[in-house]
Amino acid sequence: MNKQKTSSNPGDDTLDRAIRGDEDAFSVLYKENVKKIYNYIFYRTGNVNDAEDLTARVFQRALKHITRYKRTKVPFSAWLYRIAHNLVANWHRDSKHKRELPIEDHTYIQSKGAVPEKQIEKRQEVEYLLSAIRKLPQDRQQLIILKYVENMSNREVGIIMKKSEGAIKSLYHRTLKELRKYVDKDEI
Amino acid sequence: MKENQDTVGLEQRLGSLLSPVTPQKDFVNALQESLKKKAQVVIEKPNYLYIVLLIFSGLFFGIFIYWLFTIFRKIFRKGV
Repeated sequence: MNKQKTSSNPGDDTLDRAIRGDEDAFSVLYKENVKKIYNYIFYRTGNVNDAEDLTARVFQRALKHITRYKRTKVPFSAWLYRIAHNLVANWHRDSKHKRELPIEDHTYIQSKGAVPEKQIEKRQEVEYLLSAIRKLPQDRQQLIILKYVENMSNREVGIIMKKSEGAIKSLYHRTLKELRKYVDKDEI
Repeated sequence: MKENQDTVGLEQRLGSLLSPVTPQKDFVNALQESLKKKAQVVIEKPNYLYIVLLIFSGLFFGIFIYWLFTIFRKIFRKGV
């Protein structure tokens, strides 16, 4: 798995300046994190409009509260993921969003050059897999998205989910087991 | 054994199908701009001195009117 660095505590100086209310510094933090946060929200909601709306809200909330952000060992991106997770949880709680949403087109931007039939096939497979993932409890969905979309290690996921590396490892195995059950059930 | 193979198969499937997506550039730029604008908005605190002055002048004016009213009433009674 292609590991990406998540301890994206950008230059400490940039973060310090952003905490002091420097909007240019916040802009740098925004640029570094917007794609990751958007990705996470997109896979949790399944549609572009809500992903854009919630991503905007994450950064608006971050901007509003950044002066209260306490410098700890927890990376800044983890703070953003936690805001995103809370907003997505609220979004799911809202009953009108509970209907199943088909995943929208741009998931497949990556598969440029692929034969159209193959793209359709892949799209169906992704939709099928995501519908199985959405049957999992919220924390398990979060774990799967962070591991596979954001390519995070158990340690990095643990920081965001406020759990130990061991707890994440164990949760991951239980999650795979549960997910396999849904996938197997649908395939029968 | 089979369980392990199934799990590995599922992991491979997840790894190959869940790829990162790219947000639209227009959205990313528009949001950046709106965040900058938001940062420039300064919420003015209400001028408490002005409010206090307004309340006291209103009160003073009320008392003054009442005082005038009592004076006129006395004059009017004497006149009668």
